[in-house]
Amino acid sequence: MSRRSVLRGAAGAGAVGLAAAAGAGGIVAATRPAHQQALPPAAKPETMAAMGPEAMTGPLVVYLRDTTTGEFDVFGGTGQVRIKNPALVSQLLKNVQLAW
Amino acid sequence: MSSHREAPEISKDPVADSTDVYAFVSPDDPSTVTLIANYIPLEGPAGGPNFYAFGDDVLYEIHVDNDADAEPDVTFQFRFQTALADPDTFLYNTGPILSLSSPNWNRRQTYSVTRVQNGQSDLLAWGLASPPCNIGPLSTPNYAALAKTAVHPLPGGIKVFAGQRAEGFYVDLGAIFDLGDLRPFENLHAQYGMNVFSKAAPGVNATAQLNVHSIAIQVPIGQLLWGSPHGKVTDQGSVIGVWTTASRQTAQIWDADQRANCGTGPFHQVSRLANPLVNEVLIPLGSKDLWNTLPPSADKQFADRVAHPELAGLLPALYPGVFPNLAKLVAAGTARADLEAILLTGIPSGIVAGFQNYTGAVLADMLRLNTAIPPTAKPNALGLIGGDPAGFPNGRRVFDDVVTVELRAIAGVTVPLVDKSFTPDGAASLVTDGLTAASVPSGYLDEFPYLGVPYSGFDTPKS
Repeated sequence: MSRRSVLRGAAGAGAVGLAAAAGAGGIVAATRPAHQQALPPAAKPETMAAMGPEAMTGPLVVYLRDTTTGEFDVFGGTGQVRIKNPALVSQLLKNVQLAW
Repeated sequence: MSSHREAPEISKDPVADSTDVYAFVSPDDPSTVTLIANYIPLEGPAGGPNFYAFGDDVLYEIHVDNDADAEPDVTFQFRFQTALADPDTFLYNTGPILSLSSPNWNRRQTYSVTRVQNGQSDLLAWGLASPPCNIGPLSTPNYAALAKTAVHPLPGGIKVFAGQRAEGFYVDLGAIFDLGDLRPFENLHAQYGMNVFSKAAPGVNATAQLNVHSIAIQVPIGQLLWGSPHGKVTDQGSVIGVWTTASRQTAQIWDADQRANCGTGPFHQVSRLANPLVNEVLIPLGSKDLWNTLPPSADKQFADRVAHPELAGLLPALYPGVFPNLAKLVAAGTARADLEAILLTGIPSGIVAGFQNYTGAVLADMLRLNTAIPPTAKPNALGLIGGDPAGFPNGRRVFDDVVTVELRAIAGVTVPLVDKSFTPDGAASLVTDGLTAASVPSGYLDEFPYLGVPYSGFDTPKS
């Protein structure tokens, strides 16, 4: 796991928040699974506040309010995008379980 | 309190907690308006070693609506940055601070000012020095003069100051929140049958020796108006609506490596303030946090709380027999159009002779200032109800007795403005928490930034 990664529980249905420094493992920084599965592309992100390219240098915060929806928010700089990618969420949860 | 710790969430976040907003035509330069937003409630002056400062991670804003839609047309944004000259000392200062560039000052704060107007952001200035806090005779030996050098001129004839000031708002906080006790009338309080008070007592100013952090900006009037006819009291274009907000970034993470909170994502509003005591007294506990996140243009949903204030029903119950006419008004369920006008729309022409600060039908909590009304040579701290149209609720000056004005208004003294058949109770024009501007030991300044020199940690409290 990235040194700066933080996992925290949150209220709601199994919510998980994940913060990671981009460049130190990417947005999703968790234990690499034994068999890395290919992921389908995410649905077109919904821009909730413009996130400029400078935000990609991090830190970024990924927030899964409800792990059952496949949706998560990414915060960077002063921007926010909502991405729907159930496969990525599923893989993230598997990675989290591997870290237990 | 005007808006000190007024909602559950913001009470846990003092640096983002707005406490008071002031807006008035500047008495020492009537071609300008002074806007002041105070933050950080109830600062004990002896706040060392980490003396109070604005939040580097907070976006502070003062908004001005000039076309009566309760949306910001001119916004001034303030962002702060703290620098530590020497991390290897525990001291805020390592010797007397005699100037804003003193090498003895270890932990200092600078700020930027940005104006947002017509979709354009203009960075007006950056690297502006805030003064240090008032520590004492060894550290800040000539504080008043030192702080004066922190009044900065900006392009366009604007002045700005951001730093510690003496709390100018006065209120008997301890008594009022002890179940509505007003000491000058406490012998008339029902006292829940306990007979604690047998006679009246003078008010006690709970904020008498406390400081706040003020953001003050003085702007030529023409820069705040949009060009519709203005300059005459009767011109709606002369009226502006003012409020302040504080915002934090949405995602807050404790970064263990940096040993600091890391904020990312868009800024979201966590504090809002315009008229004193609105969120504090009129909005119920369960809605206060929501209220702080909303713009004034969303205030219609709270209009019933203004039209039927809980306190109007409490006064007759707490002071039996003192407010019989108010009790009848409340029992009849009469909507308080007077309070709606004062707090949510402004007062239209024809209600008070020669006065208006109406901004239209949009129900919104804004501090409304008719900029065509000049400062009064001999101000009355009771403002409009004291016959002084340059004072609250026409904007708000630093010394205005807003607690007494709002107590009397809620008690019914302003009902005849909209209902000539109503006769206020005799007590309505007398009710007060027993304080005046003279209850503020620091006094006020005659010039920008008007709020008094902050109390020093050395001198406060007195032994």
